[in-house]
Amino acid sequence: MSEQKWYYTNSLDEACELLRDHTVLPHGGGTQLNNIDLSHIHGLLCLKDLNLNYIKQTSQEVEIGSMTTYADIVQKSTKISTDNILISALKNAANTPLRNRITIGGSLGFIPQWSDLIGPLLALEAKILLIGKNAGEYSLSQFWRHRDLLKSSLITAVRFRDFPHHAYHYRDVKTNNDMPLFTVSTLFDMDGERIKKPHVIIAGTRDRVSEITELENYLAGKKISELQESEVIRRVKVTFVGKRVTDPDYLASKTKIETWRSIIKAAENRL
Amino acid sequence: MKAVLKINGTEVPVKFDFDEHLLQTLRNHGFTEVKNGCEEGECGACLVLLNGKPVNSCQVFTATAIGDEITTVKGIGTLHQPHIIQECFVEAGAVQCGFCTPGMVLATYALLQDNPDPSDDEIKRALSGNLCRCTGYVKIIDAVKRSARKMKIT
Amino acid sequence: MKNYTIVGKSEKKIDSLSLATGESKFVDDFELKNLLHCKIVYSPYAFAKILDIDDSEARAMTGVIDVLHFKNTKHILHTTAGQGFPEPSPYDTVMFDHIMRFAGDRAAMIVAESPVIAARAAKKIFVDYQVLQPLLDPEIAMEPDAPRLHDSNRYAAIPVKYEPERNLAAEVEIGFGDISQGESEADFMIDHTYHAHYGSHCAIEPHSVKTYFDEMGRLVIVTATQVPFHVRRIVSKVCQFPLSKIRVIKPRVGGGFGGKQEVFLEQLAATVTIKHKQPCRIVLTRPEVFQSSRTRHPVRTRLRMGVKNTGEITFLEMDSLLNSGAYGTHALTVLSNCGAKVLPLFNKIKNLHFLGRSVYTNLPVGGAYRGYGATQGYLAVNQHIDIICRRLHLDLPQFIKDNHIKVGETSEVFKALGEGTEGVTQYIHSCGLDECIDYCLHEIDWYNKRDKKIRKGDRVRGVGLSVAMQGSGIPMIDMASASMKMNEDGSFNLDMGATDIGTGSDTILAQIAAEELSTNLDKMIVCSSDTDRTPFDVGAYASSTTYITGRAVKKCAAKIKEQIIQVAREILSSSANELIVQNSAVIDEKQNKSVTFSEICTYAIYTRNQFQIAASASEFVEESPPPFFASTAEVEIDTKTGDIKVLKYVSAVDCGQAINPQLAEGQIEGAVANGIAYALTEQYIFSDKGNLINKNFKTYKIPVAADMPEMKTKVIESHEKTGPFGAKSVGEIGINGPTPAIANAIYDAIGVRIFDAPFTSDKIYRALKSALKL
Ligand SMILES: Cc1cc2nc3c(=O)[nH]c(=O)nc-3n(C[C@H](O)[C@H](O)[C@H](O)COP(=O)(O)OP(=O)(O)OC[C@H]3O[C@@H](n4cnc5c(N)ncnc54)[C@H](O)[C@@H]3O)c2cc1C
Ligand code: FES
Ligand code: FES
Repeated sequence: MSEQKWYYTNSLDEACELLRDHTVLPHGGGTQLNNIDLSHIHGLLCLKDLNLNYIKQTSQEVEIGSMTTYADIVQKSTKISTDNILISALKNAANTPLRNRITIGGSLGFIPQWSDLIGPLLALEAKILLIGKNAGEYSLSQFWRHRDLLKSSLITAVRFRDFPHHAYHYRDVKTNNDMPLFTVSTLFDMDGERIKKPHVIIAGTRDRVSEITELENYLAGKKISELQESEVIRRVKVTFVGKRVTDPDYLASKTKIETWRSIIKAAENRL
Repeated sequence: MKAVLKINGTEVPVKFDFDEHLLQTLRNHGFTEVKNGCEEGECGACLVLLNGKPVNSCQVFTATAIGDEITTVKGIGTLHQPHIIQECFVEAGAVQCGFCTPGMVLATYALLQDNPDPSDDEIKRALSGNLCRCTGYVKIIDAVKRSARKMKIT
Repeated sequence: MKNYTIVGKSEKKIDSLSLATGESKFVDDFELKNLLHCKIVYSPYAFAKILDIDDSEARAMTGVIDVLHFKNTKHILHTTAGQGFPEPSPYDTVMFDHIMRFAGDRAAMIVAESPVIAARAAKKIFVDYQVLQPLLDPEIAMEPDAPRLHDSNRYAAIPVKYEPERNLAAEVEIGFGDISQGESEADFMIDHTYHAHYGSHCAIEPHSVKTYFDEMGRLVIVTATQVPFHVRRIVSKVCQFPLSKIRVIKPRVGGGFGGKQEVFLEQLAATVTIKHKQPCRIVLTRPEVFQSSRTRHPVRTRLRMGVKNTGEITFLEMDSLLNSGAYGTHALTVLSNCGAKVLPLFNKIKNLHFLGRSVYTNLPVGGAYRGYGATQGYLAVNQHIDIICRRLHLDLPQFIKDNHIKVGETSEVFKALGEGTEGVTQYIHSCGLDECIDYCLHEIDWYNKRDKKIRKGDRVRGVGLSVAMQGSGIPMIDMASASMKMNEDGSFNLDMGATDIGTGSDTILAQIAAEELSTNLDKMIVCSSDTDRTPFDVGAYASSTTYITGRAVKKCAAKIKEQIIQVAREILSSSANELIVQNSAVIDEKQNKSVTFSEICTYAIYTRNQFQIAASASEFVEESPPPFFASTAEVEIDTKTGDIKVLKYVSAVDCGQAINPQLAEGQIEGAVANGIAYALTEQYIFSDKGNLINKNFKTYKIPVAADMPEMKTKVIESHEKTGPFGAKSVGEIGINGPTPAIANAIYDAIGVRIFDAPFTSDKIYRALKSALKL
């Protein structure tokens, strides 16, 4: 094998050029790349100098550069509403020093089962911006199902509408320095007293991420007072794989309870 | 690979492998105050400041730290000129085996730079990446509070 | 309470500033040139026979120096347990074997010029395994058709029961009175089985060792150990290398908790250095620590008690089955302590029977772990008495106060059961347990919370209590020593074999010496745990250092003091009785004259009748006075999900005179934190084939600061007349409290008892669910 190499560039074009080689991987925060076997790749592309660490606000949208870390998002939150689900989610993700490294680009490049990012971004109907082979803007729900979009491409940013919303992000952890076994991200708007455009996303499931559409349909147009716990619980049908540290059946029943609670908490959490 | 790293204000020429992490490079070049407790980003023994922010040096490729300011615990105070935080850890009885202490001290330093008057909750959150098996954290939290008080006075 | 000037003061730990500034050196911080690095190749199978090993590809790699395995190393039976000689643990281990007895047993070791090469070469070792049916259930280990782990050439070095042909690693049985008598007197019987699970010490510094030859051709072993002298002895034996040519140095150690009372890497590194005449380094990775170092022995305890309606216990029968894992390290002594450190606490019981058996299984190896069997025993007993009191509507704290051992009393168990063999009769000279209990009740607001099931939405709260005692060293076995000399500025070198692994023993032993000599702590220059420089000490285990080494240090300092007085008398021309030692000086009150320590030593060295003021002393103890401990926990349980949170944890300890109250508190706080996590989140999870699944901090969850409940800790001082300045021990006892206190609190909250620790949310959830079905 030829010698493995690091590539540094401050030009996005050059970055795209380099990524045409499939065995050159972009390096975000390195918190996944540091823990996997790299013997099969030829190079790593350092994204540090590409000026992708930013949070921008346009009229209705927020754009976050892919090299922005979890900590930056939480700390630079003047650009994002403080109660935005993304902030409450990332505030507690991983641990303090890791939050200074984990980037949103890397997290979307990897999407681990324990991601605290994917749920909130899906709930926010975020879009993802790619350059390179598959350059373009994709809805995140489309993107995460088609991971081959990443081939020879670079995530440069995510965009979402930062509208006032009711939201709650639940993370199921055993200690305060833990990756969640699952997360429940609940977000909706209110049309008067009625729930509008609800999103309920459970990450960490057998399918990695599950949007609970059946439940969303039930919630849409209802008043909070009309909601019935049993009806909500009935509609949360997710399964977990058995290899994890906790019993999958237990997790499945726990998601039901925590989803119901999340909806109630989201209703109380008004931005 | 070869590069010059900025460590504790000094330029240090280093040699390292393609996929070597900063923890290893620092230790290989004599910065053994940076400890290895897990190499998986969980324990915080390897914590250093990168441009003032706490990171786990075992999760940072050395190749990405070129040009950054790296601070180890010796960069904020030494045996002969200890930092207030280091003194407060001693006074509070927060140092048992001391293996976690360099990381704890740096995490405290970073916290107090941002937030000179942290609440208990903020302290606990700031230390959420640092494991200590000896103290049960009671005296460590006390040490952070002492440090905050003393640093405000001076 | 006595009036001391240095003892009883929270002096700063003498090494703490050096540690806080990153100056102190741990094993892996020592720089050595031409260092060889090792990587151990582990068995992926719980039980297998190695038919052959092909190391040719690995050997052919550039930078690979050697590959060690059963075909090219000596097969000397030994135990890796770092205990006194002859060790009470069976000799059932060789450095490299051809039988793999657990997934994590070592098959081979690569020796290479760099860690990267070693790791790469480890993948090029081809082992031909014949996979065998593993024994994963301790309950069936002794059955006739169970797989056999060890050949009958394994043996015990002391006359104890050891039957490898039945997978029996150890057995102890004691009893007195008459159980059937007790049964007939009882109004009812309470019979339950409790499970204590595997746990990992999780010292943040992993096991590390470095070896090299010094300029005189002596083998130096720098190692993260709790037992430097046992390391020297065991390495000498296993490597067949003269003891006189071995020097063991313990630098700063990043926590031990029992995990480093095990000699299992030093002999490997020594073998490499002896063979290749080059320095060698072995540092385990975190997964290796979890899988292949030592653990807390899981114990299944069946407890049967007969009770009268008045609350009188008519008999107690305890049956402990200890899962020793693949090897018998500490299998006998931990087992003994399940009874020996637990049963004497309730010394009013007239009819008692204890049967303990340790069995081999193809699972990770048990070892010493803070609490050492007492933790497992108290887990059962504290729950059992809670059950009895609930059944009889008795006040649990009062029941304990009525039944526990008191000053002046003894227990037949002390004599009947020691650590492995017969014990030693002893009487209690100090006991502050009642004050400990009262403090804990008050701080948790017991009587306003117990049985109140305070509810907030889906969450309900409960409180629980537990008590414990431990020992202070192993009587008639442990020995410790110290030597001192005086310098002309009035400072003293204090050399001890005692092993400070973060516990602060260097500091408190210096405090003891300074107190005895009426001088300041900064006059003590401490050197510890260097087998060339310091006298013998068994090491840091069995809660022995403060009590036994403390006595040796005090005795040694007293000898120094005599010499100081003798010189002072010569200088001051005083008669014998008039001299007092105070503030680093000797004063003749009658003549109103005084002479400083510095003047005294200068005189002794340079002026007349020159000699070195120096002494050494050792201590061997006949008793092991127990410290006492009480703790209360308040928990909150989510009745829908089973999530549990400890809201508050209150502890109080009677450790005699605390030499350094801040350090004593720190020992309790650390032990309690470990205990709470052991009760809630820490566990070993195995695959069906016996492979450990969660061997890292990502999946074996130990707490961070934000997980800690509100903690209250009090040191309640008593005076132990046999202890140095009244001290007993404090290092281990705190860990015995949390698991049963939390179990009792869970019951108080939800009326369901979980007999299998740990109390994870899924277990609580299932327990709640099945209770509702009933
Ligand atoms: C101990 C630990 C605990 C953790 N806990 C949590 C947690 O609780 N919650 C949570 O959300 N996460 C957590 N994580 C983080 C998560 O597991 C991933 O490590 C992280 O999301 C990766 O981000 P990164 O920026 O470090 O990516 P990197 O490691 O740099 O990259 C990850 C992948 O994405 C690719 N990539 C990187 N940047 C880009 C880009 N701009 N465009 C295209 N591809 C890219 C890389 O090539 C690589 O394949 C934890 C990680 C660790 C080590
Ligand atoms: S060694 Fe880096 S976090 Fe543990
Ligand atoms: S003091 Fe030992 S790990 Fe913190």
